[in-house]
Amino acid sequence: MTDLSPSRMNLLLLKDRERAARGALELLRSKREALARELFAIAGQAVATRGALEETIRRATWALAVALGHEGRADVESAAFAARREIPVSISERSFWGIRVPEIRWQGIVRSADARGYSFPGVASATQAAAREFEKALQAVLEVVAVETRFKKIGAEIGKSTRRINVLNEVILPGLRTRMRTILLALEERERENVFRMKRFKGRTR
Amino acid sequence: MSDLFYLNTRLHAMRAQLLSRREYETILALPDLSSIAAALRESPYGQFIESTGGEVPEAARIEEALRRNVSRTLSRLLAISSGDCAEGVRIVLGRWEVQAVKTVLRGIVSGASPAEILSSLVPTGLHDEAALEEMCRQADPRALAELMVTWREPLGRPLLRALPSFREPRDLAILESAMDRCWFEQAAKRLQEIQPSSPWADGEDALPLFVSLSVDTTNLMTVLKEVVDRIVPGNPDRHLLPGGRIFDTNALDRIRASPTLAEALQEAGRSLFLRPLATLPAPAKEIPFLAVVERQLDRVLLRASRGLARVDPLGWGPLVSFLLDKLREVRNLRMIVRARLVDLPEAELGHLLILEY
Repeated sequence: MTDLSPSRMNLLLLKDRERAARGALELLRSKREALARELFAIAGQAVATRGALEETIRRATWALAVALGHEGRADVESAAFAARREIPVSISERSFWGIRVPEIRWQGIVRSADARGYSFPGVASATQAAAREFEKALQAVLEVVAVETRFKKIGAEIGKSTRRINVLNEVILPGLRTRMRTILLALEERERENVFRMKRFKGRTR
Repeated sequence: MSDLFYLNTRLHAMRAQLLSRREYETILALPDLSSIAAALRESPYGQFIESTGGEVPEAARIEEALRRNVSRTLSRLLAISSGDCAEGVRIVLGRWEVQAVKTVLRGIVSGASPAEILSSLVPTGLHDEAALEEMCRQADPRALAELMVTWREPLGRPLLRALPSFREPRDLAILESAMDRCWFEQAAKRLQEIQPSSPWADGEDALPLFVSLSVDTTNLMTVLKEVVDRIVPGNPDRHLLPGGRIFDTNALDRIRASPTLAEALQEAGRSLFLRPLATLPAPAKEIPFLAVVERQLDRVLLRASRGLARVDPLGWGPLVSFLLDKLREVRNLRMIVRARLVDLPEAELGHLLILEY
C-alpha cells in the first residue's frame, strides 16, 4: 500500500476504502453501545444470582450438617444412592449482534420428596431437607453459569470491538488519510509540473 | 424370663457407659473439633476413635468411631440375649436391618460398587460382615431378594413379592414401602408370640408400645412431609404403616388436608401429642423445621420408654430405653461435631439436641 502509485484511480480507491472504514467504525460503535447496554442489564442479574448462590450454598451446607448430625453419614449416603440421576440440562446458542451467546436450559432440578427415588416416609426430614437445599443450590449454580457465561462472552466481545475501533481510529483511518494526502499532493505537484511544462512549450513555439 | 433378667443386668452395666450430664456439658462447651475429639478419647468412644486410623479429617474420624460404636452396641445386644429375649431384640434391631437392606437395594439399583455400599451400612449383628458383602455383590434387586429367600430372611419373601410392581417404573419406593410394612406387620405378629415381659406388671408393655409409637411417629411425619412438599398421593394409604394407636386413618387424613405446616401441627396436636407439639420452638430460617419436629417426636418415644423402664425395670422397658438413649447420645455427639464444623448458631443447635439425662 505504501508504494501505491499516485494516480486518480488509486485516490478514488482509497476514498472508497476510507468511506468503508468510517462505516465499519460507526457500525462497531453502535455494536459496542448495544453490547454495553446488554452488559449493564446482565450485570445486575449476575450480582443477584451470585448473591442468591452464596445464600443457597450456605443453607444447603447447614441442612447437610443437620442431616449428617441427625442421621449419620451412612443413612445420608444411602438416600443419596437412591437419589442419583442424570441432570437434564440442554445448551443452545442465540445470536446477538453476531455473537453466539450460549443459553442454558434445565427443568425439574428441584424434585418433590416422592420423586427422589426412595420411599420418603422412611427417610429423615433432615436428609430430605438437605437433598432439597442441594437441588436448589444446583439450580442456583446453573443460573450463575448461564448469566456469567453471557456476561463474560459479551464482555470479551466489547473488548474485541473496542480494539477494532481503536485500530480503525488510530491506525487504519489515519493511514488511509495520509496516503490520500500523499497522492493528492503528488497529483497537485504533477498538475503544476504539467502547467509549467505547457507554459515552457508555449514559449518555445512562439 | 431369666433370659430377660440377665439381659437387663447387662443393659444396666452398658447404661453406665453412656455419657453423664457433666461430660455432655464439657463437650458442649468445647470450641473446636480437636478438643471434642480429645474429650471423646477419654470416654468409652476412645478405643473406637483410635481404631479409625489413617489420615482422615477429625470430623470423619469421630463420625466413623460413632458408627462403629453403634454397630458394636447393636451386635452386642444380640450376642447377650437368647430365647424369647433374642426374639425381642431382633424385633427392635429389625428397624436397622430394614434400613441396611434398603441401602443395599439403593446401591445396587444406582450401580454403586460393593465397597461403596458396604461403607454406608451399619451392621447390627443380624448379618455378619461376610453376609453383608455377599448381599452387596448381587447384580440386581431380584438376585438380592432370591438370596434373602434362600437365607430364610424375613424380608426376602415380601421383597420378592413386590418385585413385579417394581420392574416397570423401577421405582425403589415400591420395594421400600413393602419392606417397611413387612417389618411392622411381622413385628406385631411376633409380639403376640412373645410372652409378656412380666405378667404380674400392670399397664403397657414396652415392646408393643415401642412398635406402635414408632408407627404413629412415622405416619405423622409422613403426612407432615406431604403437607410441606404438597404431595397428593395417588393411593393415600400406600405410605402409611399399619399398627398405630394414636392416629387412625381419619385423623391422618385431617392432618393431610391442612394447607400449611402450622395448621397441620395444630391438627396433630388434637391428640396425645398435644404437649410435645405445643412446646415446639418457632421455625428458624437456618435449620429445617421438620427436623426439629422429628427430634421432638423422638423425645416422646424416649420419655415413654424411660417411663416404662422405671415402672417395670425387669421388663422390656430397659432394652428399648437403653437403645433410644444410646442413639440419642450418638446423634447428639454427631450433631455437636457437625455444628462446630459449619458454625451453626448455638440456639439452633439447642433445638436439635435432646439433652435429657
